Amino acid sequence: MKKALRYIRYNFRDCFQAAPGAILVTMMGYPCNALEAVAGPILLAAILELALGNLAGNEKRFVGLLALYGGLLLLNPLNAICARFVEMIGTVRGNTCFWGKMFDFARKIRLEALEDPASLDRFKRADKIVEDNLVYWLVNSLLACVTDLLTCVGTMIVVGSYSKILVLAAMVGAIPSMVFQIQAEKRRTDVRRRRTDTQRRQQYYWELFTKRDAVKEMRSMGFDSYIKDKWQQSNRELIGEIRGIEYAFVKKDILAVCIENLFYAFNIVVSLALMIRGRIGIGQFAACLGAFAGFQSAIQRMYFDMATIVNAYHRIEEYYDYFEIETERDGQEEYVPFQKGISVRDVTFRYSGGEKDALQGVNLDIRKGEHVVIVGENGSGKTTLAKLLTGAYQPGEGQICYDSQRGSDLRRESLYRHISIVPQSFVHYNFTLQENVGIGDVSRMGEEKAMGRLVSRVAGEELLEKVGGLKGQLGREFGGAELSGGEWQKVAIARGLWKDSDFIILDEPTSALDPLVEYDILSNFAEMIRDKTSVIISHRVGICRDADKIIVMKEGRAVECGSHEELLQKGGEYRRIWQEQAKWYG
Amino acid sequence: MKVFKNSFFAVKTAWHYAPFRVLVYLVSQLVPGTFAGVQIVLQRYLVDSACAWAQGAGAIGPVAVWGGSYVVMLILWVTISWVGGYQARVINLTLTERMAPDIMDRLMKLEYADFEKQGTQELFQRMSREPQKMISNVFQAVVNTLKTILSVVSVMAVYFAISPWVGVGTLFLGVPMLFFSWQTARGRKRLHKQTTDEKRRLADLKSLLADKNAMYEMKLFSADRLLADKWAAYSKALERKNWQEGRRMAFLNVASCVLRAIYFVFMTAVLGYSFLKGKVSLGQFTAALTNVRSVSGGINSVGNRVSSLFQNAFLLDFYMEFEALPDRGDLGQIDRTLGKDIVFDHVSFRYPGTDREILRNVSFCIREGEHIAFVGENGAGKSTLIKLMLGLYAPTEGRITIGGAPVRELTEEARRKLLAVVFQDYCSYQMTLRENIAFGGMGALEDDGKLLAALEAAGGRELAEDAEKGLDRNLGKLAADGQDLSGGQWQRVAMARAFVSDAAWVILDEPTAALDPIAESRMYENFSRIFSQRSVLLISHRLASARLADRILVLDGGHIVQDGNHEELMGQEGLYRIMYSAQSSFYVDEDESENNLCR
Repeated sequence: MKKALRYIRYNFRDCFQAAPGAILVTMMGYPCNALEAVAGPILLAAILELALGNLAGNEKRFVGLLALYGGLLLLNPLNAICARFVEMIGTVRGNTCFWGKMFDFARKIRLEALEDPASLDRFKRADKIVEDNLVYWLVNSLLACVTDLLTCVGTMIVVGSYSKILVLAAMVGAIPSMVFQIQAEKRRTDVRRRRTDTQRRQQYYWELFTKRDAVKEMRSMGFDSYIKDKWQQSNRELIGEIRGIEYAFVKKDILAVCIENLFYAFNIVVSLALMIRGRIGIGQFAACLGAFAGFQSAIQRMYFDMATIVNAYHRIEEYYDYFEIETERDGQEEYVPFQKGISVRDVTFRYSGGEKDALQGVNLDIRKGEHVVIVGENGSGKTTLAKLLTGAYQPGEGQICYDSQRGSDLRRESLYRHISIVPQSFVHYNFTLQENVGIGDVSRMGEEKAMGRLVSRVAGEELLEKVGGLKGQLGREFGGAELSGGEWQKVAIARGLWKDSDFIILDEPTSALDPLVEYDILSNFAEMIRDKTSVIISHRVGICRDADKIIVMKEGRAVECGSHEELLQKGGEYRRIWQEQAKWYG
Repeated sequence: MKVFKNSFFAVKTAWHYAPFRVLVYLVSQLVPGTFAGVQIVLQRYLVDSACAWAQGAGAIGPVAVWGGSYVVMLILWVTISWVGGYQARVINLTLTERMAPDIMDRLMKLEYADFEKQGTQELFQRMSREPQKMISNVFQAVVNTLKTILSVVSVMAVYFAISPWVGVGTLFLGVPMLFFSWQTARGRKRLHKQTTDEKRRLADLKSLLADKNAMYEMKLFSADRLLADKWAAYSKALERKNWQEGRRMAFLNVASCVLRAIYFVFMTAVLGYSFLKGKVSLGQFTAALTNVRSVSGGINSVGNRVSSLFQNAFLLDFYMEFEALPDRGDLGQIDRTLGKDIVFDHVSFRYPGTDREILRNVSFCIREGEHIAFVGENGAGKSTLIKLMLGLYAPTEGRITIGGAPVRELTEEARRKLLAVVFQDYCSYQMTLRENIAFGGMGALEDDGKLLAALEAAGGRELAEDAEKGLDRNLGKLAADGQDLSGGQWQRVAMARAFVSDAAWVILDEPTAALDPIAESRMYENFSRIFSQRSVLLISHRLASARLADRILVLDGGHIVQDGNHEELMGQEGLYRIMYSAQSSFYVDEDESENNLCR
């Protein structure tokens, strides 16, 4: 409840901020609707009364009333104009504002929180809400509800002025249909929620038929009909349930409508009786019929509005839930580049949702200027260790210290300024080559000459030529050059080296390269990172020979540490890995 | 015109798949369409007869009859509308259920080249969004448009009967309003076209934000601000374009509202005048007056319906394009071959629509039982070779045969019995481990022993053993209890597929890229052991694996430049020795490798 109130408050604030004019106009437009619904029947009654009675002599009054009625009708187009503008402002501004908010927030999220797949789900849901223009929905439906309440009260007074019984009749007549509607809406929402899983799976199966990699495999291995069956199976599940529910609803709905119309007939009879007794004139009879219908539909709409409000709330809940993801806990102290080294003490780490610790008490030291290679099998925690060394992820227990500065106390950005990486899962930015490399250090983005030199050194002139120089767009999606995996990797390496840092981490920097290039790059590396403290994570133990220090990771621990010769002599894990690989080249 | 063509297509398709439902839907939508006019007529007679009766000039009978039929009509109206509403909700489902399998079949009957062609990317992206739903939407839009037109026409007819002036007034309102909404629809389309670039850019930036790897990298580089700037620039541009077009649309809207206002005034005046002059009865007067709004509303919604139909129908273009794609040409009739040797006979190849020759006059013969390795630098055409071998593409020149039969003239079944393949860009299916492995040979789906053996051979037995549900554990994040695997683990699963298959040839394209050293060398040992009885074709740029092969074919610049076993090739000057030395230089002594590296 508390959360709901908070979200609603946020929602009003955000909507108002996004388009204050639109909200104000909506607030004024809705009462006009109510006025029209209430005053229409009354005016019509007066007109009819006159028309039936002695029109002679009262022509002026008749014309006057008619003019008033015409004027009342004018409210409708006026309102439509406003509504159109509101809708337009809403969609035009809304997207920028609501998405802008998500954008700003995304930058503050803790990286650990992003590891949780649920965060991605939240992001997708919130994104969908903005995309479908649903952030306004709650405010809109609340205002609509107020309008219908006004209409309800107004028409009720009109009907009530003729007969109290009719008020009761209208209310009772409307009950079954709104009860059914609310039920139906609730069930539908339930099913929708419960079924999203099935639907997602179904969509996944479908997509396989349109993706080239999957098509290639389905054809060469022949399991397309199996996937098709899976699709049909999940489709049957979905359809069966939805059909059943809709069918049940339609029966109830028809019943409800019949009841409602029976009461409408009752209203006609009562009004007729009133007229026969001379309590009301024929004009009022007509007005009464109009007002009754208006009243009935207003009650129904109001109930429906309430259902909509609940629904709309659930949607904005999906939007605001995104903003509940944990944000970064930043330290206070400014980072001073380390002079002695980095020490890792009893560091553990567990990914959210992970079953066991990815790091189980790691201890190691890296001295300034050292070139360290970390080796180990898949899943031994190498990449995780790298992520912690950058300070982007914080250890669960233990400490990482840069000289005597504790990582957790440092202002993150001040630390990042001195660290560079080539991550294992590097990013393909669909930007220009210059931006792709320049991201490493945005402040030096404009230094084209230096960048050109770096790129041709790391990636070769061919790459520059292929994409059309630094200004060339990368990625096929935006009409740029399509790079191979290896070429993207070279771009990522250039990016990491572009940043003028004193500490660099390279996580499997050559996994996608072919042997000649790999050799070139690895031997170039030594040159390019000579003055820096470096950590290279690699599967290729071959590069260990030139390292100052080798750290061997196994099952979340650093099990061995030393130079190539030392570790070979020791005859432990490192020797095993080395021999496994070297024997193929002996 | 395209809209009519597409609309007609949608209706025809819907009718083809669910004639009965379509019929019920049509009746339930179109019949109430006429009720708007009927309502006015009934109202009129009800009031007239009631008046006559009240003034003592008529009997109560007619009042009861008209009143009764009015109520009956209302009940009918609402009931049929509800049935229509139900139909509207379920007809989608029915159409989807029956249409989708046919579309899937059609997708599988396309030429594989279409999936890789640059021009058809967008087409398949749209196909990936369940096009059957879109067809059913267009069908519904057509019916709804007809329904609204019908209701406006019925009301107009009644108005003309009441007074030609009223009718003419309604026409004067209707024609420009339709024009305005048509213009609005065009504006929307224009806007859509103008803003696609910004929207795609924004979507691209969004995808970066949702990506944990991207966020990690950008934070470390403090590049999130660059991203924010880009975001702001594109969304400003989008907003500006939206405003421009939005203003024009709003202007049209204001114009149509003014028109409506004039219409209201005109109608009240005409009706008032006619009534005062005694030209229309009280019944006609009230009925016409009370329905003035619904008429203008009706016309307005005709405009909206038509414009949305225009929008939706255009969206079907891609589907027509899809229907027009040619059938694949690799479903042959030959189901048996003489032997299993693979022969490339003067094969050249260019990807359709490109100029670059990937393969130039390549000829070789590899024999059943041989272990072959293809090596070469990135982009040398190794993976293309595989695609040709599988018949996914037809060679531009030359012939490719297996056991004497041209590859593309074999049946799919026969090809599968000959070739099993693990692609470089293998897929990670978000399904159970069992399914993921069994895709290599569906016959083994329930054969736990075989599946486990295959998994073990690929070095991934613990993937089944460590999980509670064993082979039935869900992989990937699609299922709630699913767990994603690492790149290396997925690769093992993909490898296991090859072990499940009984095909004569096993083709492995870069099978060890994501594996760590120990796993890699274990995998090599497994290869030679497990496949000792079978023919193997290996593509790798890790040359250690090539050493195990009986024969190594070196590809460079679209040609086979070297052919022989490891020892032979090391004895020759050439690309192989250069590549091998580069890789082994990390493991052997410095001076030795230095010599080899002189190029």
